[in-house]
Amino acid sequence: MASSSSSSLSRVVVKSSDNNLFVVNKKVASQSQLLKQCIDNMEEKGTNDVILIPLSNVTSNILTLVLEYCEKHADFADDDNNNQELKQWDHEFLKKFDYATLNSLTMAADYMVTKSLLNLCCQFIADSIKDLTVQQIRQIFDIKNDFTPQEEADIKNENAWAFR
Amino acid sequence: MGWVYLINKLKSTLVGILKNLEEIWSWLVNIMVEKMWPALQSCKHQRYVANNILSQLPDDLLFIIMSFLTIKEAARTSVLSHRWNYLWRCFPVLIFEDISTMKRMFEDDNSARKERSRSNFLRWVNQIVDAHLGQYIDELRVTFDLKKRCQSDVDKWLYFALAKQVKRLELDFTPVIHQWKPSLPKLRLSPDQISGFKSCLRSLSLIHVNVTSKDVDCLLRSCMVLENLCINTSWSLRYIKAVSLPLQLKHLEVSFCPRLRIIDILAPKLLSFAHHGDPIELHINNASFLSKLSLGIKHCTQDILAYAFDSLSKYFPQLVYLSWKMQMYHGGLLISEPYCFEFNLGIKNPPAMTNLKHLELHVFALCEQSLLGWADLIEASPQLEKLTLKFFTFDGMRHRKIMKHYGLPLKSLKTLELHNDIGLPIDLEFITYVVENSIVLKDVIVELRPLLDPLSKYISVKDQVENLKRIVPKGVRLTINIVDKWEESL
Repeated sequence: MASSSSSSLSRVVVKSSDNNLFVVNKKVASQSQLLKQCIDNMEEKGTNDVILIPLSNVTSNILTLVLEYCEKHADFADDDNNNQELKQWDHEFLKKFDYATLNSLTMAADYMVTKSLLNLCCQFIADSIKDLTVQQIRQIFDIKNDFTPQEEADIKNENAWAFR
Repeated sequence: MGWVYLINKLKSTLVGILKNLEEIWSWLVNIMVEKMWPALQSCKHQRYVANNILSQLPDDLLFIIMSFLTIKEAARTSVLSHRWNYLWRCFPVLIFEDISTMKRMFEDDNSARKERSRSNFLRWVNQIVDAHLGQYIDELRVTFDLKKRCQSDVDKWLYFALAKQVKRLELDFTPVIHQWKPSLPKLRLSPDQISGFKSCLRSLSLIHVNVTSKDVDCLLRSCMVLENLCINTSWSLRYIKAVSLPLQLKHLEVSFCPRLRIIDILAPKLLSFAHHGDPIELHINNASFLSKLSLGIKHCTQDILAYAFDSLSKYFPQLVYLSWKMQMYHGGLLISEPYCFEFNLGIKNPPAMTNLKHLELHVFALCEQSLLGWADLIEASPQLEKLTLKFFTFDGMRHRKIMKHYGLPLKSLKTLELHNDIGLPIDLEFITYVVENSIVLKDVIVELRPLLDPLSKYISVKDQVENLKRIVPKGVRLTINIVDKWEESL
């Protein structure tokens, strides 16, 4: 790049909450707005060193997944967003996980401001809620029913149209 | 024994050293971190403690998840728990439509039952609107066959949208059965109220809602972030004039407003414009990014076509997408009434459209007419990659001579898309012209609709398919989907 002066970084080091370090290519890191912001800030300051970015809320197994996603999407960054191959990959990527992992991934995507991954996770969770009964949703997502039977009946009655 | 002991001892020592190293390492890392990133230790981190369950996701993330659900699916989550009930009552995307009831109303002539369906729908919308607790809503959409007597409900929804600072508002009261002059609810808001949408409203669609020229004036003057405006079937709209200040609009559609006479706007950000209806005085000024244009006239003759080219002539070279909707004959649907039509209709001497990539023709014609008149328009677009023909007819002439047309080669055309009444002599003639003159054509994609009674007696779906197979050359991929849907012609 013509504009890359001495202050331009090519890599960053990201630290997970359990103190594992990940060396990440700048293009991959830029998929996360949080990391991108950190890189931009350092470049503005003119730092020449490798920078270390700590993510105190993301464990290394979740961070590995986020970075896997970022790497794939960085490869396709120059293509248009409607790339079929990428969509297929996204779907296969999420299909592997249980709900616990999916939730952690959602939170990590939100925290690291990786909007496309966040939307992808939310869409995936929403799609799985669609076909479940109320009992099943409560069970799978561990939601405690804090209604009295009367309250529950009232609310169901109020929204009767949705249960037809 | 000795060996095993020694190895175990060694192992535990090594593990101890490694553990120490790890501690030293993490200590060093933490020092580095504290020095470099004091700011990162703050705010947003705190709420993300390690947890795995959906109920512990924060509200804003649950909202994003809910936004991928329909209103019905979202309402079902209300019985999960108190928290979910609250979230449901703040649900920011309110889309009210009931297609199955509308379909029933279309098939049913009983007006008492229709009225009952209408009041059920109103009750449903009002109940949810009344119970809503959220501070804002992103979208409010109401799609149903509603009449003038529902005005007080419509008023209420508009006040609601205003109070919740809606971003996208769509009211679509299209009747299930077409009426020449339906009794429409109107946009009953004062100028002060309209200016309440000033900083929120981005998209507004009013379909079968009476809007006056003054309302539109006020909207355009006060809503500074309005990017998308669609007005379809308003009997009160006579003009849209905004030349004193540049508009923010990116998309504008004004269709089927019978009393409309003038559109005169300064719209430097406009990307797409659509006007369907009788010719009007049309001035779109400074739209240097305009790339999509959609025009249509019910009763089409050569003179009327000329109007569009005159008033928009300067934009044709920059267009990427152009759509024409045409009804190519005059006269009633009754066979006894005299037809009035030109045999070979199209556009003569069209302007050069040097950037056009996609041309879409919606044509309603009689089978004895010809579509070859459109060849000039197609040939005026050297970059054309995709051509779509949506053809509708009500007479099915089984046999007629197919004329050959040798035009200029179509150098860039890759895809030919055909919809509805396809496989009759009139469209086969047109398709033959396209495939024979194309050089790089790859795909012919057909969405075929079985002909309606009584035509289906003479020409079956099988005939339609066979006819197509005969004229599409071997090297071109032919995909045929048979659809069973009724699409309006205009």
